Amino acid sequence: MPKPEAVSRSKTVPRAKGTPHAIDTKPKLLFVTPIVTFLAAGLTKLVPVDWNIGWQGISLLVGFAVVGACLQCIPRRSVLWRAEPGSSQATLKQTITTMRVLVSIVMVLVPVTILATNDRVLSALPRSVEEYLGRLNAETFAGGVVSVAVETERKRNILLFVPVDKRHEEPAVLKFQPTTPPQVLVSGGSEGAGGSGSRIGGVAGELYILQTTKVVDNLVKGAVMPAFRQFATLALVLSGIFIFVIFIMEILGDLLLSMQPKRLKTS
Amino acid sequence: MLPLLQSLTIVGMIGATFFVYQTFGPRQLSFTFTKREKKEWDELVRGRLGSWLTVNSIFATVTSFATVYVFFIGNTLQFGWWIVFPILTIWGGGFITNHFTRILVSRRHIAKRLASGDQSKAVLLTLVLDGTNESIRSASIVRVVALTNILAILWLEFSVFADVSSKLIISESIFWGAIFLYGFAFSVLYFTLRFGLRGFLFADLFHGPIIVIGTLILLIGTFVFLIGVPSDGGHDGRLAGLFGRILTEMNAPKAPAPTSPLLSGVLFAISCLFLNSFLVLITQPHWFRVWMFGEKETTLQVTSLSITAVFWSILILIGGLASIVLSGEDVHGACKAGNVDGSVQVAVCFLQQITNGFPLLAVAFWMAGTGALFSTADAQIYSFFSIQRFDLREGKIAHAEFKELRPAFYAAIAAALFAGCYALVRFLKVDFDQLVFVLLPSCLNIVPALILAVRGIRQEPILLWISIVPYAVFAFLGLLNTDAAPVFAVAAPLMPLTVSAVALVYRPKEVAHAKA
Repeated sequence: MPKPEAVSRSKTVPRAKGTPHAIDTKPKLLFVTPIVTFLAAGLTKLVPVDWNIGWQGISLLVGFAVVGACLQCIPRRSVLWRAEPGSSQATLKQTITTMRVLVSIVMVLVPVTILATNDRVLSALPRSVEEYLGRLNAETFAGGVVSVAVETERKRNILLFVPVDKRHEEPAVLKFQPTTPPQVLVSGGSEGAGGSGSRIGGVAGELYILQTTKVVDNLVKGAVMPAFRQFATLALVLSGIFIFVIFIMEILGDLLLSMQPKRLKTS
Repeated sequence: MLPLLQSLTIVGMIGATFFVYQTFGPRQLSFTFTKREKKEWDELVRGRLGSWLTVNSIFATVTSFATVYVFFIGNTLQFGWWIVFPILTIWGGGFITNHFTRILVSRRHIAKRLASGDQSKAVLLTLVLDGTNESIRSASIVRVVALTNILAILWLEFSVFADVSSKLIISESIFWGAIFLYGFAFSVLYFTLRFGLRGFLFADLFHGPIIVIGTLILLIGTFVFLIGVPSDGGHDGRLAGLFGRILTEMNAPKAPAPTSPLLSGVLFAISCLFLNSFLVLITQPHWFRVWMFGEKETTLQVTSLSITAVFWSILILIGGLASIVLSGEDVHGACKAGNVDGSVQVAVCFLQQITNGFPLLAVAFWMAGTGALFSTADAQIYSFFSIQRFDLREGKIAHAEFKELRPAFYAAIAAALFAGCYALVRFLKVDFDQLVFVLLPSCLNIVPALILAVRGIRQEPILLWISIVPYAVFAFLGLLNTDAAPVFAVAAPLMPLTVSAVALVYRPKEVAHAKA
């Protein structure tokens, strides 16, 4: 026996004006999404676990929760529409459903990703990269080259294995930092005498060893995370806009559809 | 990263508008409403929905991207306190619009036409038509003026939009600007012709709030940006200090070098007084709303324009903040206040500065900007087809069938022409601000004919010519690259003002003869 809700949805009788919506035009189940997001935002501060996501992360979570709650507050009038297959109402109904699903997916995915970008995960990432580099077989990875010939090129950064506290080999990046601009000696010029043709002079500079963990940490926190937060905020803004569109589609679509029986009657 | 965010916002807004258009279902046979549909429509808009639609439509149609949004942000620095005039005059214009609309609607033949349920009777040209040959000649002149004005506004909207976006997203080259313009113009024209021609009023229901929300975010974000940045000149950067600096900037307008700020301001004020007083009355969307919403259009006119005035004040506030941002110590080169030329460049430099610290303010700007572009463009496109296809002899819209519209064809041709004009204007280095002053008020040349219609006396086509010819001369002089060009540009609308004053007291010969 079908559930009462399913029966009411499949009814073809148009809803009488002013009749309260008996079925789930405001489904409670989907409120789980914003509620969970709100809870998650609170938990990140309340639970004594080191998963700090920063004030921007918290703001984004709260924003998604608010926008998600707005989505759930929009009455689902389209489920009551008596739409003939292939009709414009059916297309509109399908569009609303698809948009609701897509926005809901964004509402779940982005907050989950925000939660995944907490300090614990971010701090584990550099160590993981370092371990990965440590596990690399330099001989096979570098195509059989066991050493790198250091030439007079000043832009090349070289991966070295530098011993730390005399026990482990830690990967690091060698960065050449020139301290003076390269001098070009020209034949016949005031600075060069007797040379044939031009040549690059000596390049003075300093070699720095940059710890890979720091490099990855800076890369993630300085470039990847700001970009991610910008896109998350853009996703929040666009979700808000599309929720507003869903609202318009539900309300206006319902009003326009309510005119149809009269049109049939008059024609 | 920033270009990607901006592009996604614009594309997102176009996509959202497409979905709003979808609410109205498939295209009907004709882009005009039938009498039966009008009857149903009357029932639909009788309640609060009708009020919302009316207010949103008036607000969103008047608030365009080029002539309002960028204009206010970019010109507050130039005009100082004179920039407040458009606000006062657009609000006062509500009373004038209501006054003349009520007189016109009370005329028996116009009232009868509007009550007939035939949408053709809501076309602006019918107000001029009274069955005489003179009225047909006047109506044909009014049609040319109205269509020219609509095309000019559409072109201006797309050009400024493409100019700002291409400069912010890719480069300042004319080529990229033209490419952007073609893309935007084609998308907006195609979507509107294909899906939303009859739904422009509903689309305003979406665009109106989006414009407001985007602008408020931009305002708050700019405040936060400025409070967080140490300011120069002994000000401490707090909120009160910022307001003090805005007042200082407003007190010292920076008009273009050869023009005195006082002269420039006075001419601007007179131009605004005349333009904004009649702007709503002489544009086609107003008469469609009169036909569609009836009494609501007049009863909610002042409320809607009050909301518009408040919103424009916010834009002026942002313009004041923009001049503070550009006078900062870290701003150099062409963007430094004093070096920056034209409202478009001010808007571009302002956005470049604030989005360095807060990239998402660009998202807010494009949210509101795209909404403003769409809301003006869709109403103008609908008006264009209604006026262009109006048969003066028959007194109704002919060939209103959708199958004759060919959306992709028209959109491609129009977008290509717009892009070509844009490239030419950029090549000739004509300032967009001067174009705003010259092109937007061209619709005022309709006012003399409307005044004769209000007075209920015979139309005189010669009055229209006396208005249009000097207007065109002044407008041309206003576009030349001379020192006096801004004065000519601002003075052009004074020509129709003068002729309208004549029309107000003009007596046709036969009336004088009859009295004698």
